[in-house]
Amino acid sequence: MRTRMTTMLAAALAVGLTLGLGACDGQLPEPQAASAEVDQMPDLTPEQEQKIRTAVLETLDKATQDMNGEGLGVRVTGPMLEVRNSAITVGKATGGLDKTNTIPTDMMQTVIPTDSGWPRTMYTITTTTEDQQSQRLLVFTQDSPRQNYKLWGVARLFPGAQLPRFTVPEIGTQMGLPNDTGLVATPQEAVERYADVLQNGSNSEFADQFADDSLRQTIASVAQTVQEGMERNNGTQSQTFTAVPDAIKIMRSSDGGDLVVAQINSEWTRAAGDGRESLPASDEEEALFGDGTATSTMKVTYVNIVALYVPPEDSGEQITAVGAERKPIKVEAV
Amino acid sequence: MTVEEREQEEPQVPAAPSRRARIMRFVVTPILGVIAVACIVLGVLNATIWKPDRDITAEASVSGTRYVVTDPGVLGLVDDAVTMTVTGGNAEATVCTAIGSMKDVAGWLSGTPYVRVTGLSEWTVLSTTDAEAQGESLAGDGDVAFADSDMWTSVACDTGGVTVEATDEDSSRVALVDLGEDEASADIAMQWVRQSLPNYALPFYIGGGVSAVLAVLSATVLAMPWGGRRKRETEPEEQPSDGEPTIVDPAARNLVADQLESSDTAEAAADASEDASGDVSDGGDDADADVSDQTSVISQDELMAYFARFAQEDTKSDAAGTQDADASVSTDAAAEPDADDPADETPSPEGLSFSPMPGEPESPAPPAPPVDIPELSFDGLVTMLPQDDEPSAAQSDDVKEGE
Repeated sequence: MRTRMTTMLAAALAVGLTLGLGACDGQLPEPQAASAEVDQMPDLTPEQEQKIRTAVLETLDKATQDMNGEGLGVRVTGPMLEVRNSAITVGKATGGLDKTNTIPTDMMQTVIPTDSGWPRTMYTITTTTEDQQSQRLLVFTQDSPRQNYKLWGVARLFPGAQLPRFTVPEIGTQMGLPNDTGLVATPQEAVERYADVLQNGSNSEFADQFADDSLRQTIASVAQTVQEGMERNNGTQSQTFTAVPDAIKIMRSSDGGDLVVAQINSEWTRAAGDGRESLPASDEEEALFGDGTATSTMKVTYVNIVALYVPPEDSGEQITAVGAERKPIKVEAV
Repeated sequence: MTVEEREQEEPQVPAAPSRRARIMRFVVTPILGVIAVACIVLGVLNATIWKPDRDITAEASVSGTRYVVTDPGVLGLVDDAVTMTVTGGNAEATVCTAIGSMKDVAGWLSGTPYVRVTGLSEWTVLSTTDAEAQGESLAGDGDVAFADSDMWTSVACDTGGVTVEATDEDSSRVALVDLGEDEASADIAMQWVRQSLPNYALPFYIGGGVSAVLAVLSATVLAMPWGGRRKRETEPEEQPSDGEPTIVDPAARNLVADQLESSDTAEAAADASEDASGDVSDGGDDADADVSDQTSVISQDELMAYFARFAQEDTKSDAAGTQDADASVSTDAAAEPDADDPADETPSPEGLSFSPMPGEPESPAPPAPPVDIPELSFDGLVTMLPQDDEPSAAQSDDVKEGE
C-alpha cells in the first residue's frame, strides 16, 4: 500500500515537473528603473517645439488678421503681449502691422530646457525675414504644467551679433537663474546695469562693462535729436529705464555664460516750453495717442525687450546686447 | 589429439564482464538514453505547442480615480512597442491617454491622487496601486485641457475609451490616462507583440545531445576497466603472471651463446639435471608452475642438427646392439637457466625431453621407449613452440597427451 502511494506520488511529481517545464512564457519581466539621465532629458522634442511655435504663430497671425488682440493671451504673455497689442493698435491706425513685427516661421536653432520644475523657458532663433530683416530670438515660457508654452518675448537680433553656443536640442540646455554666479555679473545685475547704461549713456558708471550696440546708439541718437529740438523751445526731455522685476529669462550657454532676455520699461517724458504742446514723436506714438488731447507734457511708455549675453567671469569679455525690441505701448499727456 | 586440435575443439569461455561494465551498460546507459529522449521530446514540445506566446496582453481594472499612470519602464516592459487600450466605466465620458515624460506627468498630477500601473503580476494581469502625486495642485486659471497640453509627445481622446500605440525604448516615457471625471472606473489593457521569444527548446536539444553522447560513451569506452586501460598506457610490455606461459622471442635469443654456455656447464648440469628431475617429480603446484612457465624454443637449424645427430646415434645403437637411451629430459633444457634455481639449469645437450607432470608417481624416469623419430618429433616439438596466451594447465595436459 505504501509502495503504491509512493509510486503515485512520484508519478504526480514527475508530471507536475514536466508540465512546469512546458507552456512557459518565461520569467515575468520587471520594469527597469529609469536611469538618472531621464531627469536630464530635454523637456521637449524638436517636434514639440515646432508644434508649439506653429501654434503661437497661428495665434499671432489670427490676431493680426482680425486686428484684435483679445485672443492673444492663449499663446502670448509677458512683454510680448503688451508689444503685440500695441502693434495691433498701431496697425489699426496705420493700416497694418509694421514690418518689424514680422516673425519668420522657420527656425535656425532652438534651445530646449532640461529642468523639471516650472516656469520653463525655451528659446528659438528664427531665420531672417523675407525682406532680409534680422533673425528673431523667440522666448517661450511655460508658467505651470497645466498651461502651455506662450511667447513671452521677441528680440530682433542686431546685425552681426554673435550668439553664444548652446547644446543641441536633443541634449537640452539648463535654465539659468537671475542670481547665477561665475559670470562678469549676475543676470539680474546685468539687466539693471544695462538699464542704467541706456538711461545715462556713456555717463553710466557701468558703460565700460557693456559693449556698444545699436540699441544704445539708437536711443542716444534719438534722445539727442529730441533734446536739441526741445531746447530750441526751452523744453526738456528725459528717459528713465527700469528693469521689470521677475521679467527675466535665462538659458545657460555651453561656454558657461548666460543668454539673458529681460524686460526693461522706459518712460520718456517730454515737456515743451514756452506754452507749447508736447506732441507724439513718431507715427507709432501718434497712433497710440489717438485722439488724446495734447498738453505741454507727454509721457510715453516703452517696452524694451533686451537680449544680453553675460560671459563667464574669467573670460575677460564685456556684456553684450545681441538683440532687442523697443515698442511704445502707451502715450499719454500729463 | 594434438594441442591445436584440442584448442580448436574446446570452446573459448569469454571472460565475464566486470561489475563496472555491467553498471555502465545496463544502468547508466539506459538512464542517459531516457534522459536524452526526454530532453529531445521536451525540446520539440517547447518549440511547438509549448512555444511562448508572441502576443502578451495584460489587463487591470481601476476604480475611484481620474488618472492612471504607468510606471517608468512599464510601457516597454515586454517589448518596445505597446498598444494600450482604456475602456472607461462611463461610456459617455471622454477618455484620454497621453504619452509623456515622468517629470511632465508628475507636474500635471501635482497634488492629485492617481493609480499606478506598476507592472505585471502575471502574464495576463497588470499590477496596480494607489498613489498621490507630491506637491500642491497647480490647477488654476488659464489651464489647458488635458488633450491640448504641449507636454505630451502623443495624446488620443475618445468617448468611452481610447487606444494608443507607444514606444518606449529607454524607459523615459510613461502613459497618463485621464478618465474625464473624478472617481471613475476603467479597464486597462496593454498588449505587446514580442519580437524576440525566449528559446526554451535549445537547452533541451543541447541536453539531449549531450545525454545521447554520454549514453554511447557509457556503453563503450566508459564500460572498459580503467585499470586495463591505464596498464596498457603505462606498461606497454605486459609481464607474464604466475601460471601463464613465458613468451620468448626466438629472434631475440643468441642460441650460439646459449650453446656455449650449456657446454661449459654441461658436467655440472648433468648432476643438477638428476636433482632437478627429482625435484620436479616431487614438486607440487610450484614445480608445476615452474615447468609450465618455461617454453622451449628450437630453431630450424638446431632441429635439423638434432635429427642428424639422433639418426647417427640410432645407427650406432643399431650397430652396437642395444643401447639404453636413458635420457631424462626436461622442458627446462631450452629455457633460460635460472641462476637462483640450480634445478632449472638442466642441460639437455642431447635434445628435448619432457619433465614429469605433477601427480605422476615419484619414481625414476622410466626407460625411454624406442625412439620413433617421426612421431616423437612433430607431436612433441610442436608443443614446444611458443604459444600465445595459452593456459599453463592446458599446456601441461597437452604435454602429457603428447607423451
